[in-house]
Amino acid sequence: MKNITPSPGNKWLAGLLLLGLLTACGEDHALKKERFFFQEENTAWLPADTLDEVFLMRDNNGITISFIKKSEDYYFNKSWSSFLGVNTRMSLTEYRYLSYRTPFGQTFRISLTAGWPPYGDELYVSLNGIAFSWDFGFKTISHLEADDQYLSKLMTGNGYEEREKIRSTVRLLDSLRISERVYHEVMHFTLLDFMEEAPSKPFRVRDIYLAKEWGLVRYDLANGIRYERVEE
Amino acid sequence: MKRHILWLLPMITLLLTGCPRCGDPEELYMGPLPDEALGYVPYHNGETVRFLHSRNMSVTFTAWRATWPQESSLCGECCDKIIHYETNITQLVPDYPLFDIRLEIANPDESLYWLTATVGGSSFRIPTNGPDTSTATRVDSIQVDSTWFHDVYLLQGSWGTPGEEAVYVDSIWYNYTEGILKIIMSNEEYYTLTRE
Repeated sequence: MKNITPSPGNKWLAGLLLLGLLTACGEDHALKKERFFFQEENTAWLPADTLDEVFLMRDNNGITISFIKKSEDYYFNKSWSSFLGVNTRMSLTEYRYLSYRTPFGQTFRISLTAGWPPYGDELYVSLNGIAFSWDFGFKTISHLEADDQYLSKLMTGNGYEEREKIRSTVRLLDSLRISERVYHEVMHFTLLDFMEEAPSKPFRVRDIYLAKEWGLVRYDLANGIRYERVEE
Repeated sequence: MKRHILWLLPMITLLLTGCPRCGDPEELYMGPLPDEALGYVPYHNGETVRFLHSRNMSVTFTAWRATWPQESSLCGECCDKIIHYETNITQLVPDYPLFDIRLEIANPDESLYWLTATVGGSSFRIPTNGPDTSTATRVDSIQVDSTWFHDVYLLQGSWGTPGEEAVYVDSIWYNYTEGILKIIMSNEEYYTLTRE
């Protein structure tokens, strides 16, 4: 009986073959695959408008503007962890995005990204250059944008690390009355950061009100002009 | 060697003559916009004009006006012509979060000045000196609030495809002495020029 011992060259070849086998299946295969879905109670923050559907808002001086739904996207975001070129873990994260604009160029965008431990689902809202991300799990603003400036909290394995203080707030209201209609479950965002620019930006959005099932129902500018949803 | 040269010569000739070569394009210089053309837009740099919304809100627009050189080419496979002309742009900027108004007068054509207005995303072609090919309606006189204006064009805008219930600029009234007299929205709200 002949004893066969692999030569050093054969060991390398075997190693390469194993690596090739593990990586041959491409980016869609990993040792562990996870899917993250929206929490059901958060999906209602995105309104169920159809494409080209219009909603009206009127300011406190009686001027009406209309937001038209221009696009919608829904997919699972892919991300990978790898070791020595081998995909060890792949995550698929549920994501939905809606965008609206007025004929005069104002924009409103809203999206929901499913959370992954330890984070909760994240709602992103952007209106005329002011944007915030709200983490439903940690109940905190994780990201803030005002025109070309931004503040962000650092994501770590244990949650957020606040490098820069975000003073802006989000409050969850039971209800909000606008004219004859009462909207239930309302998110109220107030911009309290970047205030040094406020005197030169009187038309900057300061307050945003979102209602579950409806989307944008009210917003206020820094100079006190208030826009409210019109139901005709 | 001689045989190779015999093959190469027709090949090179074919390459050089196979595709038509473009000649130098004709360059046309239209010159500066004359006062006659600039006069179709009556706003002066720094001037303010006030409009009253149908629900009584007053909005003041400030005019910014400047002339820019332009170049356009008429090109198919080759460019036949390059036209050098001028565009004078008037921007009316509101003191309220509304929409800008932009008026452009240009002279790319020997016999016609091109005048377009863009109001809140809607575009309007305003007739000038040449034959009127626009869909504008011209009226001798029309009343805006308590003031009568003469030689007024009623212009219908084109906006693309707004949603059925969207609020957009539907039409404007314009004359050469006052500029925009009235802006009518698709939901029947309107803005009128006011002198108060």
